[in-house]
Amino acid sequence: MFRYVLKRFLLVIPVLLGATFLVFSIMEMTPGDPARLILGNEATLENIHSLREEMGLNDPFLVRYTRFLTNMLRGDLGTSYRNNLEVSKQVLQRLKNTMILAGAAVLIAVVIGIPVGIISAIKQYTAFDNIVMMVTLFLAASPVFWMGLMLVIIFALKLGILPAAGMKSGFPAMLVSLILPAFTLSSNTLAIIARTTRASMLEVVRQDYIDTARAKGVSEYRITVRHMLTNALIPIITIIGISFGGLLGGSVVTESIFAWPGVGRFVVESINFKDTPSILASVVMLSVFSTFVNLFVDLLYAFVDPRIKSQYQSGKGRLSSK
Amino acid sequence: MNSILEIQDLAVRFETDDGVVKALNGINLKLEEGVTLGLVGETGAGKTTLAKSIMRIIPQPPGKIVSGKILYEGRDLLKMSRAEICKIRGAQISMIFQDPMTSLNPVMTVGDQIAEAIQAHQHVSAVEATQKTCAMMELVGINAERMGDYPHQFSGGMKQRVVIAIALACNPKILIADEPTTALDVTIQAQVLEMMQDLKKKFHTATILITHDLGVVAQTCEKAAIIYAGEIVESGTIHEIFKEMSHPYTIGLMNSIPKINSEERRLNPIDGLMPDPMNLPLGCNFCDRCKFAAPKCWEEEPPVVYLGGEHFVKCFMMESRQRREDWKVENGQQ
Amino acid sequence: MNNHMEKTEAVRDRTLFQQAWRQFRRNRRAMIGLFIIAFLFLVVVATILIDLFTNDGVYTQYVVKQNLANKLAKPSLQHILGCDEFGRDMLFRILWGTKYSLLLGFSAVTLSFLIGGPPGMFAGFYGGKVDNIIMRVMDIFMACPFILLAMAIVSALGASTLNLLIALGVSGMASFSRVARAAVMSVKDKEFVEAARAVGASDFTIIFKYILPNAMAPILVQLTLRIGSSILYVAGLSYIGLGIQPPTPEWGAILTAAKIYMRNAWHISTFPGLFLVITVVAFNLFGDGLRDALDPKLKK
Repeated sequence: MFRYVLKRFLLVIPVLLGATFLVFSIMEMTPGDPARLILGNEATLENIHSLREEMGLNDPFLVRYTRFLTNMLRGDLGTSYRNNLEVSKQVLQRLKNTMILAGAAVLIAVVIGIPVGIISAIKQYTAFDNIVMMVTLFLAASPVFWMGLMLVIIFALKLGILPAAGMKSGFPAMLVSLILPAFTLSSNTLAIIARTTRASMLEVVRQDYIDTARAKGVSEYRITVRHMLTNALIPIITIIGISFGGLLGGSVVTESIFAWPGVGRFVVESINFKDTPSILASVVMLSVFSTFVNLFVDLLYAFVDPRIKSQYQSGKGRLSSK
Repeated sequence: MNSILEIQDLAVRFETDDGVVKALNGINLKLEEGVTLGLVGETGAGKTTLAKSIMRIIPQPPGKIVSGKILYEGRDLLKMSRAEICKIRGAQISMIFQDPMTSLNPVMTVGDQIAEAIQAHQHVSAVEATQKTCAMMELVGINAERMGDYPHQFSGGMKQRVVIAIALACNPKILIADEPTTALDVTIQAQVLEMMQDLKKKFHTATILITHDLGVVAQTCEKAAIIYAGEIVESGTIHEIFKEMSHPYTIGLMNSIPKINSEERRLNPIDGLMPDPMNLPLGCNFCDRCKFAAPKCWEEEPPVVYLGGEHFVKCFMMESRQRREDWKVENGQQ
Repeated sequence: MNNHMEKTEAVRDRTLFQQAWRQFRRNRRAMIGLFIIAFLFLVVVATILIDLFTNDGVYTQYVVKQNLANKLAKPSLQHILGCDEFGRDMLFRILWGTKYSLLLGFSAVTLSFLIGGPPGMFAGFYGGKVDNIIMRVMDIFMACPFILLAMAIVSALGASTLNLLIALGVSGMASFSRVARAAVMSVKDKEFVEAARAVGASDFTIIFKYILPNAMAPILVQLTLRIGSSILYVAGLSYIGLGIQPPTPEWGAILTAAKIYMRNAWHISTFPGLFLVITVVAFNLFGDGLRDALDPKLKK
């Protein structure tokens, strides 16, 4: 088992390297001269040229990529064109904030979505089930930024009970300012988790082993928890993992609406300023992060389902993509 | 002997979007202590529905127990509360299902699943439960060290043994076995059946063995009931039935088994299919396929005719004594 | 009598398409989705035709031209959905914006399929090293979250409609390749493929003439289900300024201004979003219905 985990970890590395190459190549296509951008319109050609030399912008593509890579592995992600500060520091600072937001969103989606899905499945065809299906249908289809606008209008402007923007510091204040953005970000994921939980439960309810458990005289409560839930929740883990990518995407927009100082907003600002190193660094770091989250979810899945676990213990694991 | 289980006029329906399925239409059955009753019928006859009705695990929408009584030791199971029925399930009446591959919870160890049956009904400590689990596993022929293994690590035959261990863990008075060997290879079938016989002798459990195999019935059962389209068409002791097979369906079943010591060129199936349970005919359910059907059979429901001892048949052919004698001559039973 | 009629109809249902259509028709929700989509397409066609025949007259007059007297007007009888910050009628803007969301959403998904489908199919068909290499490349693309990749591409190429299309198409191709690969793999080992090979058909023929039509069902379902999220991405990227630029009335672009005027003009925020939601719901219902119709086994 441990060998399998190690193998997966090692496999991830070339993929991530490839990803850095991909993003670097994309950013290469940006038109315009960074040196000119930094020095402004009045700069002389001489100054521009020497700055280019200094920044190593005249070197061939592969040289620049290798330099980027080696620097990155040393922890140096370059200097921002915008404010001449180290990019890595700026990104890391904001990464923490994005993690808080995304973490809260996942929490909300899971804590509300799973129970709703379970109850909906148990009470299939009742009014509750129908309402849940209708609501999740619309929630899953709502653009995150629109949801944010609506929530702000209702709760911050009309009702005035929650702040409209910004991340406050200090403990209770931060949580309060987290509420609206977190709910906004979680809306899509919440709907998907609720639906998937419901579908999974419905699938499990029909299984023969539930009949066996009933025939044993086990209480309904224990059947629901020990037999239905334990089986139904396994595919949910995968769904949570998959939604993570969507959450990162959603955070870009959510942070913009709520002026939340996270990486998503940082990327948007950097794009507006044509600050290539910042964009590059942010995308790379978020990719690394998301890849590890996916790997973690994959391993968790194998850990939780004894059928998959024994597959890998005996070394028969699948190596190719799912 | 007193009957430990008595089913009176049980009728069960399923209300689906496509129509009402009449699964069971007036079942009458008696089971005594320690007796094995073979319930024979083809797919769709209602065997599993009957078994599940006794255990009361029919999903209540869309299922509906329309009428009838199921008396266990004199008490009507259908009138009991949820809590009371839960106490009986597993402890007094147990059931094993047809497909061992899907009957076990895939994420729970085999040992835990057996222990769960014990701990649901007996107040024992975890240690005692484990001991009892080991004992049960040895009893069904599984190495007790495999307690911590998961179902997918066992073969089909072994899984079925686990299922049997779960069912017998609390020493129930009645065991309902729904085609326990159908999904297994023939050799494993023999092993499992033999094991069940041994256990039956040991625990003195009354058993309802659901099967479509008359051979198994002859070998292992004391009584038999033939079920067709939701009704019991013939019932009695094995001796009575095999000696004086009376219902055309039973005869058809018997004749369709190829005999090892006679030369036959073709098989003798029963032509036709069982009627659609959403659209049962007015008269006898078997009339379309019956070689001996008279016009009366389509119009009226046949009566239950008692042929002596415990033997009864639901057929017009058996009504008069004269007819019966003719019948026996016709079928070479004289 | 009834049985007889049913038998005749059963014989008539010979093609998969006809069977699927009958199944689909019975699904009320899917039909609602279909009607909404049909209505939206009518709007798209109508707006394109009107622009063509009035030589952009209506467009310039009602959709783009500013009329500050009506600035931020609330919904009223004259302007059913109110007016935006430049006094333009919201209903007109939203209706004219339909074509961007629909056409772009659809094109982006199609592009993803066209770029990602063939590699996926080859990977599924040939297996082995080819499969490994292609899937590693796809893994690299999938390591980056979709929206970040799209944003990076738009940022590099510049914000325009075409670049948005390219960005979304390229970012989405990796997951399409997976779908295509799985679909091909499920059909590849069937006997009719072996038969085709035995007759001497070339690999190319086998893939495109035998496997593809049979693998089409899950691919088609994926296509439809992704149109919804594609539309949302188009709107999302336009919202943050990386897609369609104002004054083009794309729904996401309209919402960019909404934030600033949130306080007094809730109508600018609400209505374009509602249209987005209804559109995506329609596509999701349609996609679900399509999936159920093409493979009822999946549902039961």
